[in-house]
Amino acid sequence: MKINHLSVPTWNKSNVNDAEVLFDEISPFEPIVVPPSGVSIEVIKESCEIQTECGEELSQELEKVLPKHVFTVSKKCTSALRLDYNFKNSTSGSRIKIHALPNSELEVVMNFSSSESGTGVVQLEIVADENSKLNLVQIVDAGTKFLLVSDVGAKISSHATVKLTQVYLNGAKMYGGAFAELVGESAKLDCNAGYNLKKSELLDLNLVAIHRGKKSVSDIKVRGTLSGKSEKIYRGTIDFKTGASGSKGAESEEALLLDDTVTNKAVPLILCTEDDVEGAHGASIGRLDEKVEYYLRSRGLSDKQIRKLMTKAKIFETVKNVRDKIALDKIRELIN
Amino acid sequence: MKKKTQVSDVDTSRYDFYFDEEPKDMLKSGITPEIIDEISKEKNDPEWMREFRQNALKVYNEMPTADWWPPLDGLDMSEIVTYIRAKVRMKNNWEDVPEDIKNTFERLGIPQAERESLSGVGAQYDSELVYHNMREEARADGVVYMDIEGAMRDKRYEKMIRDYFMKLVPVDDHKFAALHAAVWSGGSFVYVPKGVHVEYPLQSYFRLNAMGAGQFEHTLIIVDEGAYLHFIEGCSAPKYYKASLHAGCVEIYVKKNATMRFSSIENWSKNMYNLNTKRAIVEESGKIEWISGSFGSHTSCLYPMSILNGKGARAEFTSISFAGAGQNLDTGAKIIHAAPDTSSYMNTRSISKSGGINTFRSIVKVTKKARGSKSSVSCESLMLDPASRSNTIPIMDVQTSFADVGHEAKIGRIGDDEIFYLTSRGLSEEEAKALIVRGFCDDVSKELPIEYAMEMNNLISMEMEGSIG
Repeated sequence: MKINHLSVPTWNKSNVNDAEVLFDEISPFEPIVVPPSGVSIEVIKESCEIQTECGEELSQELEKVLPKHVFTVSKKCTSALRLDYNFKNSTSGSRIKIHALPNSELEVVMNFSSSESGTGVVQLEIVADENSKLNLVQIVDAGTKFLLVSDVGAKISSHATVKLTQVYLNGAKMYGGAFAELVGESAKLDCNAGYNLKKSELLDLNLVAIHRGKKSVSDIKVRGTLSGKSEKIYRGTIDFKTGASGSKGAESEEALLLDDTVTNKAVPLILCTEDDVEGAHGASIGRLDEKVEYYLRSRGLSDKQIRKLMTKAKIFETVKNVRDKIALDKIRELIN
Repeated sequence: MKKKTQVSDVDTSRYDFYFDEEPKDMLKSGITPEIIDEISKEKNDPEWMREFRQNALKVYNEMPTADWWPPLDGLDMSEIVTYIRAKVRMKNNWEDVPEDIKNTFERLGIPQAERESLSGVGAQYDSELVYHNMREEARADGVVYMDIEGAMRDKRYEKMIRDYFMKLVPVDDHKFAALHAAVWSGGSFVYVPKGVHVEYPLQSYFRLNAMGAGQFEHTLIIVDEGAYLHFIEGCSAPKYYKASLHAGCVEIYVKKNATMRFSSIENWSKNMYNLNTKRAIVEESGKIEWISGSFGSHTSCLYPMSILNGKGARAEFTSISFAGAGQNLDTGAKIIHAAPDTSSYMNTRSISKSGGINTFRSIVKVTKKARGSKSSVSCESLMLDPASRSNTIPIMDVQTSFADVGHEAKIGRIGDDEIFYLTSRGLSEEEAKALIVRGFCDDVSKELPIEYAMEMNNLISMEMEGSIG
């Protein structure tokens, strides 16, 4: 199955137009759910209502076999909704929808851990109504032979904000990202993705922001370190549709390559059919700056310590929007 | 006196004239083995070239058109005439060129440019070169600038052509490269010997006069060790109601310590499908500089590629494209860092207006062998109205940690703050916009020789302060 399609295809020989994944029939997986007050839950059979980054083919497969858990947020919640996935040695999946009603607020923490091998597929739909605020945190700590597909779609209404933090720390093959439509005026997407890739790990990211509402704002930041024989591909799209006047979109990427055997691909697209917008992209890919390295060495740090420090720095910068203490402690524990 | 301050579409009226073709000069339209054989016969191809063309036709028939290209719906290949017989054999004396062809190039200013600022000129009219000449100084230095078909039949260069022809751009590179290989006609061969610095540029000018025709010239350039060459390519055609096709090919070999600058001012008519292929391979400490101005054509797919194959090799790509009403310009560059300590720089500007579509597409690949390499890409796009479109689609593929790759892109319209500042200094809003657009193009136009920068300014019709009466 092909997923993570690039918004506009380009040279086929570059192998960036999509990703191919293979897995067996998916059985339903029930995450451990800790809901705060103000969040109601129901389980329904419903097709995926919004576009997600993996594409329609995956949605159709999941609809056939998985029910959808719908979490409706009706007020400003002070504690987080926690969804803990501890996948076993099989192919399983889950479909979630989070609907933030007008003026509501919620932080959602999704932990993905697993046994050594297996496959996990999680689809998340986010509907953020007017003036709502949703802070989504996804932490990936899967097994060394585990394949994880995290498929996210979001529809963001007027004056609503979705902050998305994705931290990829362990897993053989990790496919992630998000497809966000900023449909309302002044809708906002703030996306931070961080990674620490080692050995032969693969991260395939597809982050898409579609601007439809006037004065909508998107900011996508992707940063991390690659070592060993790890491989990463980042597809990013900021797409300004006609009518999205006054909108701003920015995407940036910082990839620190720690070993000579890594592969890093980046495809940051800006598509524009509206003239009254500002779109920008910046990327910096390579080794550690010589001056920074010299300074750190002069302070007595060894190679190993410098690598660890830089990895931590990238991850901690990624999680600056995370408020949930349990989530932050887990990230610290994993990165240490 | 009023001042003209609007940004107009590119004015192509200067190029919009033609002379009737005799039907007997044209082969049948379409692409069949028989037509390919007829082209081979017309050209008196050696046997290896005849076989090469037929094999390329098979590849062309089997290959699909790239699915990511802009739509080519208006291009009916069965209607395209791939070869038009020359009225005369190629001349080395301008006075011997037939009057109508001579008039064409004189109206385009080619002979004047040759006299004033060029080392040599080649002029192709439809399928064949009609004129080729070079200054005596360059000839004395051993520089070869001749028609490529003549070089293929010349014992001195035959082996060189066989060794280099379509080796850099393989026949199966893409569908229109295969078509080019099957029906190619005309074009230039340039060889600059070791250590020779060609003082003035060489220029080839391509003019497609016939309606519903294709032009498939092949340019092969070899700049030997330590040499320098500036080569300029200009293209134009009158506008017809039927689609035309340009599927030329440029192959450039830049040897150790050599430098090659390839400037291209493309102003095809708005019914032209410009599906050209350009590629350079650069050896140790060599340098390729691409300067590209894309103004014409209905649809363009053009991505010059630089393969940095020797230690310390460098590539620079500077381009500007202007897409007006009905135009879809899909342009950019490809740079492959395949050796240590190589470096590259891309700097592009695009302007979209009146519903025109500009797409910047690039790839920078740093292979495992390219330790210590650096690359920087900067692309800026300006949209002058909400009917237009602008896209940037860059790829960065880095396979070694000992590399520094940077990329920055911006899309937007002219900023309100900039206009506010300039109007506060006494300029009208229109004058302020015009000034900003001129400044936007400046980085690129300053890279061109002065006469071509002026030509480019004319092409864009940004005569912001010119009188309109």
